[in-house]
Amino acid sequence: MRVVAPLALLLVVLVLALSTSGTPGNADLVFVGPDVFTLDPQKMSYMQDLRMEMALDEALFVRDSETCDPVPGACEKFETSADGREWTFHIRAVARWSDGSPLEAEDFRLAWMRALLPDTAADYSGLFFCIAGAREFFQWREQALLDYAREEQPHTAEAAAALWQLTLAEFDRRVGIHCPDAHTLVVTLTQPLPYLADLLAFGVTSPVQRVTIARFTSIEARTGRVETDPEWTKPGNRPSNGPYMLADWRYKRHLLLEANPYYWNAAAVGSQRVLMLPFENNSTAVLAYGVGGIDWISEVSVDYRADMAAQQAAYESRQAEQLRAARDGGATRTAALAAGTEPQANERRDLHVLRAYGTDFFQFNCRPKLADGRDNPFADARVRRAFARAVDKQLLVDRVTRMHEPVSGGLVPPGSIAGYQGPEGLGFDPAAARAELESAGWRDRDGDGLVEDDSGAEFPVVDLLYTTGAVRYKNLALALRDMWSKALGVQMELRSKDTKFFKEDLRTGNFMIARGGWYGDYGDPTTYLEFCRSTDGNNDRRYNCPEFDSLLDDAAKERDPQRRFEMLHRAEAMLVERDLPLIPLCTFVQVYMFEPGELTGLTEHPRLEQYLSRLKRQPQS
Amino acid sequence: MRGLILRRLLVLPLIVLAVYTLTFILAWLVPGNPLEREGRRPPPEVEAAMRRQYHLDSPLNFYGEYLSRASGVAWLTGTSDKPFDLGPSLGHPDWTVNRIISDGLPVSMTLGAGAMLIAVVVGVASGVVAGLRPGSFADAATQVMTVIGISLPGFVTGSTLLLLLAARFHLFPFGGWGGLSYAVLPMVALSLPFAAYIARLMRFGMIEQMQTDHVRTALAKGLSRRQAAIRHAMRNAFLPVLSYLGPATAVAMTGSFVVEKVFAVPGLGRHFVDAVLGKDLTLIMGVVLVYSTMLVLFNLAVDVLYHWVDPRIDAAG
Repeated sequence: MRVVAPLALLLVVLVLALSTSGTPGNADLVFVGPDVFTLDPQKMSYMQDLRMEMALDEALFVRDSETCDPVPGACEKFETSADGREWTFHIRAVARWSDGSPLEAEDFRLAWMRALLPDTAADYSGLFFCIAGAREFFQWREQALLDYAREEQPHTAEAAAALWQLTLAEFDRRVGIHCPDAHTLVVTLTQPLPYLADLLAFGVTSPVQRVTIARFTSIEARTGRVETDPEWTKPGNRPSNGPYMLADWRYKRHLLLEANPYYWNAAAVGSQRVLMLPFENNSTAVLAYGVGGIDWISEVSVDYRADMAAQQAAYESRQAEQLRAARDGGATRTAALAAGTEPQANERRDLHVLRAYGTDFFQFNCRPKLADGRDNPFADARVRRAFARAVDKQLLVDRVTRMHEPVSGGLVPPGSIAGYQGPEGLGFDPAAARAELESAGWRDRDGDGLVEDDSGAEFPVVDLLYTTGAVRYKNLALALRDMWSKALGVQMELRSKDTKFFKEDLRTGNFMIARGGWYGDYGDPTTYLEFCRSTDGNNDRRYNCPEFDSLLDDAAKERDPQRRFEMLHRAEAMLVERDLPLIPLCTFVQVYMFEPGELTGLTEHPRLEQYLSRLKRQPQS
Repeated sequence: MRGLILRRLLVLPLIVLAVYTLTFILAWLVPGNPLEREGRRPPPEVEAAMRRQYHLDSPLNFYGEYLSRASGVAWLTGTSDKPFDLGPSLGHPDWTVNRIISDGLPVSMTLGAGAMLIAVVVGVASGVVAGLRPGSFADAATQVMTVIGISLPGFVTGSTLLLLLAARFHLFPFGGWGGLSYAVLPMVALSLPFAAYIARLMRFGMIEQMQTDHVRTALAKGLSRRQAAIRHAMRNAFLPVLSYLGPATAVAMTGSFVVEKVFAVPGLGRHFVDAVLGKDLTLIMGVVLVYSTMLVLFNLAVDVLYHWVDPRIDAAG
C-alpha cells in the first residue's frame, strides 16, 4: 500500500526528533514555580523573576532570613551623610562576576542608568526617582528622543550616536550617582530615605556587567534609542555576580542554575544545581509532586487547595501538643512538623499556608460621577464606611475562601514591618453600618426593604466588578452581594471581566465597587500608602484627599523614625477608618508544598523573600 | 500537477496577508494594554515610552512596521539586519517571537505527528475490522470507543491517562518534555479524537466499498474476503480519510492547547493561547503568519497525495 511508506518514514523522523530533545539532567534541588518573564534585572517586576534575580546576582544588600532586614551583600560597608541625603557604598574587593572579572561600582551605576532610560521601558523606573536628578534625566531623555524622531534631517547612525553621547553627558551632569573609584559608589538622594538599604536589596537594583551590556547594545539610527538584544539574558551570555550562574533556560520548559565558582560567599550556597520547572497547570504540578522528584512547589493554586489545607489542619490539630512542645523548645515550625508522627489517612503535613506581603481588598470608585454620568453614591465617605462595616470578614475567610487568611482592618500586613503598628480599621457592625447609611440620607422610607434618599429615589443598583477566571473573587463577590443587600437594603449587580478588560474599567472608572489587592515592594509602610495618593498612577479609585497627600509629604521629610511611623499610621488610619477608598479584607496567603524536614532554608517571614541559595534538600533517613 | 503547485504557491502570500490583516484587526480591537502586568502600573511617562518603543502608539504604524519586518521587506531594503524578524514578544521581553516559535513549533509538530501516526494506525485498523463485519461484537466495541474518543474532551482523557499510567502505575514520567517516554501519553491523548473519527470514516468506507460491483467481481473471481478487502476495497475506502488527514494533521501539529497544558508540554499551541489571553500582539501575529503558511502548505500536500494515491483524480481541477 502506498500510504505505508510515508507513515514509516514519519515514525523514524519522530523517534529521531524525540531522542534529540534533551533533558536538563540531575539537580540537587527541583522546584515548580511560575515561568520567569525576564532575566534582565532592570526590566523585572514579577515575584518569580525577582527571586531568580536574587539567585543569579547580588545587590548591594541582601535580606536576613529571620528578620528580613537588609544586611550587606555586594557592598561591604556604607556611610550616610549627616543630612541623610548622601550615601557612600563600598563594594567588596573580593566580589567577582561568574566569568572571573571583578565587580565594580560602575556596574551598579550602569544598571541604575539602564533603569532610568526610557529606552529600557523598565516597570520600576519610578523607584529610582528618589535619586537626585533622576526624574529630570528620565524626562529629558524622553523629550530628546521625541525631538530626534521629529527632526527633518536624515537619521544617520552618527546622529544617533551623538545623541547617545549627549545622553551620557547629561546623566553625568544631572543624576546623583557617582563612582570616585572602582569600588566606591556615591548616591545623592532628593530627600532622606530611611528605607534606602531595603530598596537596595530589591532585585531591580542589581548590577550588570558593563562589557556584556556593551556587546549586546546597539543604537537604532531611526529612533535614536539604545536597544539591548534580549539574547544577552541567555545562558552563556549573561554573567552574574551572585550565588548562581545561568546554565540553561528554555521558554516555558525549564531553567537550570549552577553554583557560581567565583561567588565570594560560595561556601554558603546550599544546592549546587537548582532546576525550576514552570508547570502551568498547577494540578499537574501537585500530582507530579506526589510521584516524587519535586522538592518544592512555590505556589499551590489548585481549586482543591482549601481541602488540602483542611487535611493539614487536621494533622496539626491532632499533633497540637507535640508541635507546641517542639516549638517551645526552640524548633522552627517546619522542624516541629518533621519531628511529628506520620500523617494518617486524610491528613497531610506538606501543605504550608503562609502569610504573604500583600493585602486583599475591595475598592470603591470615589469619583463624583460614574462613567455613565450619573451621580456616584460612593463619592460620599459615609456610604463607603457603611459598606465597610457591613462586611463580616471572618465569615468570608472561613466559609468562602476557606483558606482562613488572617483578616485585616489595615492595609499594611500586620507584623511585616519592624516597629510599625498599623491602625485597627473598622470592624463588622451591621447596626453602625445602617446608621452610617442613614446619616448619608439613605434609609428605607416606604418599608419595601430598600433604602431611598429624601426625594424617594432608590439607591442605585450597585455595580460590583470582579475578574473572570479566579474562583476566589467570584465567590467573594457573591458573598458580598448577600451581605450588603441584607444589611443595607441595596440592590447589587455582579459583573465579571477578563483581567485586561477589568483593568480598562478600573482606569476609566467604569465600576462602583471592584476587587483589588496589593503586594508591597519594600519594607516600609509607604509601599502600601503611596498608591492611594491623588496623583499616583495606581490610584484607580481616584481617592483625592489633600490632607492625606500632605501627610505623606510631611512624613517623607521627617527624620525621626518613630515620629515618621506615627505620621504614616495617621495616614493609614485616614484610609481605613475615616475615608475608606477601599475595604481591606485579609492578608494574602501563599501556599507552599514541601515535605517538612526534607527541605530547609525557606524563610517564613511575612515578606516571603526566598533566596534559592539558602535552600537545601536534606538526605532522607 | 506542476501547474497546481505553482498556482497554489503564488496565491499563498495573498491568503497569508488576508489572514494577517484580519487577525490584526481583531487583535488590535481587543481592549487592554499588552504592556500591562498584573498588579501595578508604571508612571505615565514610562508607559508612553514603552508604547512608542513597541510601535503601539498607532495601529497603522504597528501593522506596517511588523509586516515589513516579518515578510523580509525591511531586510531587503536594508532597514533590518534579520530577514524574517517577528519582533520581541510583548509579554515576554526576553524572547523574540522567532525563538519562541522555533522552540515550540518542533515540539508541537512532533507531538502532532506522533498523534496522527497513532490515529491513522489505530483508526484504520479498527475501522476496517468493524466495517468488514457490521453488527458484530468487534463493530459494536469500535462504535463505543469512537463515541468516547470523539466526545470526551482532551483534559478528561489526558488527566485520566496521567492519573492512571503516571501517578498510579509509574509507567511514564509525569509532565514535561524530553525524550520518547515523555511523549507517549500526550500523543495518545491527542490521538484519541482523530483515531475515533478516522475509524468511523474507514468503517463507512469499507461497508460501502464491500458492496460495490468491482469488489463483488473480485469475490466472484474466487478471492477471499480478506484479499478482496485489502486489495480492492481499502484503497477507495481510505480516500475520505485522506482528505480528512490534511486539516486534521494541521490541527494536531499546530498544537493542542489542552493536551499541552495538561501534560506541561512546552508546545506552540499553549504559547499561542497564552499570547491571545495576554494580548501579546507580536507573538499572536507571528504565530498566525506561521500557522496560516503551514495550513496552506498542508492542504497543498494533501491534494498532491490525493493524486498520488488515486491518479484518476485530477487534483488540479
